Amino acid sequence: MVVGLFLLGLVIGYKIIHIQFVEGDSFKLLAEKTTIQNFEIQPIRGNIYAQDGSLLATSVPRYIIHFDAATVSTSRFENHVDALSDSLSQLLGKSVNYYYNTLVDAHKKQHRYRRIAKDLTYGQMTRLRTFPLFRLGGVRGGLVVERKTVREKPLGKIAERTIGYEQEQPNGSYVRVGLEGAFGDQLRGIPGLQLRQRIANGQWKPLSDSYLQEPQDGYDVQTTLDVNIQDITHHALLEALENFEADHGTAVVMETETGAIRAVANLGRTEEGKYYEKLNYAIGESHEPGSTFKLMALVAAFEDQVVDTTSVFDTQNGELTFYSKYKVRDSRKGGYGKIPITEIFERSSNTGMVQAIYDQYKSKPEQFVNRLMNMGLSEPLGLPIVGEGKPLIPHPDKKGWSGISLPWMAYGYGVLLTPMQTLTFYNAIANDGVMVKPRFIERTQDARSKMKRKSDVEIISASVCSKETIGKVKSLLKGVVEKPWGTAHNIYDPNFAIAGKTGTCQLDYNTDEVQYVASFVGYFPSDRPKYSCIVVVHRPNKEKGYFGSTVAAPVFQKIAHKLYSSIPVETKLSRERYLEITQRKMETSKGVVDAKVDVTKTQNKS
Amino acid sequence: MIASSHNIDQKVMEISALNTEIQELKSQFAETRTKAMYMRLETEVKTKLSERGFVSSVTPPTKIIIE
Repeated sequence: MVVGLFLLGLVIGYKIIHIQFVEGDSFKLLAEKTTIQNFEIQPIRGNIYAQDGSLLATSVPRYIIHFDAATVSTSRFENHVDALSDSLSQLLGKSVNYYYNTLVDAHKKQHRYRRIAKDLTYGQMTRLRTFPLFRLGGVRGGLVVERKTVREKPLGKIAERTIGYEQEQPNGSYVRVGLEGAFGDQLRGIPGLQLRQRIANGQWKPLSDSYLQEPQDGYDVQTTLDVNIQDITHHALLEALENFEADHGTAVVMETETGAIRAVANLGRTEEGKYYEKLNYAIGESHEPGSTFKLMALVAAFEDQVVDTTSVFDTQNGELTFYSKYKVRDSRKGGYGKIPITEIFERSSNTGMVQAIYDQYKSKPEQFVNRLMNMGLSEPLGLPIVGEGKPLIPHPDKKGWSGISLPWMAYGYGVLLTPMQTLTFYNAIANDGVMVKPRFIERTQDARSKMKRKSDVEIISASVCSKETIGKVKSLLKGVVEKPWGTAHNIYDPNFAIAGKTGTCQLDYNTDEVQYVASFVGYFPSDRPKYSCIVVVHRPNKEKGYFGSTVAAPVFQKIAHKLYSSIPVETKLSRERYLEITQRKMETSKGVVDAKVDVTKTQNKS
Repeated sequence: MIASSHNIDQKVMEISALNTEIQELKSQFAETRTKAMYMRLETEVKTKLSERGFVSSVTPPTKIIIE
């Protein structure tokens, strides 16, 4: 008996020593692990702003509501379920029956976690907290509220693709779309680390008042986008797409001098015929530009002095044939006879243009192609937004060059450009030859320290061509709208001068089902350009219209007019003249003598 | 020691409650801002006013600079 007790004591003693000294360290570690943890402190993602400070993207909480049926007493549930279903239906839109059935079902099956609603805003959530039953809270009312942080875009569907999003993949890489993706590194911030100890109520308290690693909130990014211009552009494009039942389209507005992008609209059609920001066509989609490329071809010809504004070419009865089977046709049957190059451009004669370029360059196509390349047309713009479409300018030394490459290039086939690249070139013409890179960002800013980093105007090429050539093509671009025979004369307005070029490009031209891309690109006001703009509409319903002039140019006009009527006209007035006018006005209206004195006073002060 | 530790615990609860409040106010701000931004959009104003017969001006405003 005694020996037995002694042995038991020995065994217990051994176990104590074993636990204390042999297993001790691992148990201590386990204890620390469950009560002390290294917490990652999430930084706050930076906001994205428009040029005027309007919010384009910010992080906000959203709420998910579940119902815990097991914690609510049956009598209380039955008392309130009708009123609660009614309130839920009013707040969330689904039928009273739907909520009634959900709640009753959850109660019958004693579900502890039945989803009632998701993605509620703060306002909706606070209202829901006042509903019958739910106002009793978690234990007695069975209300379970969870919070998550989402990215909110106050402009909604407008410019959605340009603002974009960023999504972390399981492997730690990111899907990057639009500006959210392009500036993800700045916006994201750096998570901090802090040691915390578990305390009552499931809370964790910091072990020391300093962080192991300080979290750094993301930078705010201020874009060049203008909310109002974006709004106008979006709706003007949308209207045209709806009217012409097109597949998709894009419109971009760029400030001529700085290259600042003021608006980008990208709309694609759904199966139901609705439109939304589907893809960033403006940046991502390279396509054959068609007639808008005639400007580039003509600039090259002017620069090489092989063609001049007085040169006359034969439009060949509206049809040209290469290798006895490849045909170039004019949109007007029979052509325009022999007309000067200026008119060929303004009328957008394909045969005339091809004739002019082919005649001059057929023995030296590399000179033409090199000229185009020197103008920066074969290089991508290097935009921060990922997924820029690659431009293509065929070269006689490279694979794919054939006898029809040169004539086809003259009117914009066989080459590929994105709308943004085409716009950048036209903007260079508007900007007297200085090619600036399209700019999306005004500055990035640290929200706390207010430290700013400005993004400057980047010049791609100080001069894409000579001043003489600029002068010539500028007057041609003006002529396209101004001249009665110009292809875009339908948008002519004597009060407001637009310069630009139409494009009606064929798609699927090797098949029986030819489709079109209608475009218009240009700038305004034509004498002192302030904005450049491109409108591209893909695959309009042919029965409704497909010409650049009827589909795309009116969109351009609408945007231009709107901007024009919001840019103030400045008139200068000498002070004497001003006083004279106001005095005369004052005299004609009795009883405002005192006001006259006030006017002079304020004048003296300034 | 124990008192101060409890004090800290209380502070932690307080901070967590305040953080939730910040989040909620932020959300409320974003919500209101969104509403205001929509109301301000030109196309919105235009549709609202067109019912009363207003149309947007076709001529730009004039800025008079006195020298």
